Amino acid sequence: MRVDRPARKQKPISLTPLVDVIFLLLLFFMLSSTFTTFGQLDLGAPAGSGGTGTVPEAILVLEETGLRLNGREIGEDLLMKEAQSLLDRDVDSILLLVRGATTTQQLVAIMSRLKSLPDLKIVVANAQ
Amino acid sequence: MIRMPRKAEKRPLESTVSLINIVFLMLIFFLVAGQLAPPQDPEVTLSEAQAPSLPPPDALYVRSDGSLYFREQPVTADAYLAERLLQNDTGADRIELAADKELEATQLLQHVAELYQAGAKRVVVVTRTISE
Repeated sequence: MRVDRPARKQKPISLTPLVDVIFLLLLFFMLSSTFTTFGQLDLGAPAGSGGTGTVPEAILVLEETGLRLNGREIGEDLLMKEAQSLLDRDVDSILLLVRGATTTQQLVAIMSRLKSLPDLKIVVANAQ
Repeated sequence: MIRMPRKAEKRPLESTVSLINIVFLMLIFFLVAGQLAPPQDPEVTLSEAQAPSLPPPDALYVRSDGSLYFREQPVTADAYLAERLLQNDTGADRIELAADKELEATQLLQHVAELYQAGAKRVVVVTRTISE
């Protein structure tokens, strides 16, 4: 005689452990992720260390009071125009002299703007 | 007038499924949008610039007073370089230097020069990209 087993009624799976794990994952990723986007800026080898770099044809002095290109004071808004006009005159290497209490922010801002001109070679030097 | 006690309305138990949905969505969001970050120095605010992008670096930090920190331990340029070379990791030829934006640029350049003297092949300054 065959006795059919009574069909077991399956209980629905409990969601609690799933939620626990998802919560843990969420916490982990929330705490360990960053939304800052980083950038990199190459300052190049320091000048005056005996390299075989080209002789700079223009000098840009960076002070806390402002910028001086070849001894002439220029405003920061004119920087790109001046750099472009240097390139037009076939001046393609520039020495960036950092003086006084210039902050890193100022240096980085000037550098990143000058780097947008790919033909311009920049050498950074410490004037102190 | 007789005051009748109101029968407390019995609300049905809220379903957890909607909660799980939201949590799941947030999980997916953080998975996709975030990047796992190596520990960052809390004292250092990076300078802002438009520069080629870089994944979150495990950088050498320069605080605004000019002192060098790696993973919140004070180090010198020589010791840091020696450790990097000892570990022989693939990124040893590129040193990431994360400088505070208030640091004097002359001090930053000194640190860069020291790193090159200690044998670094390439030193890059880590910046924060500003959104347009």
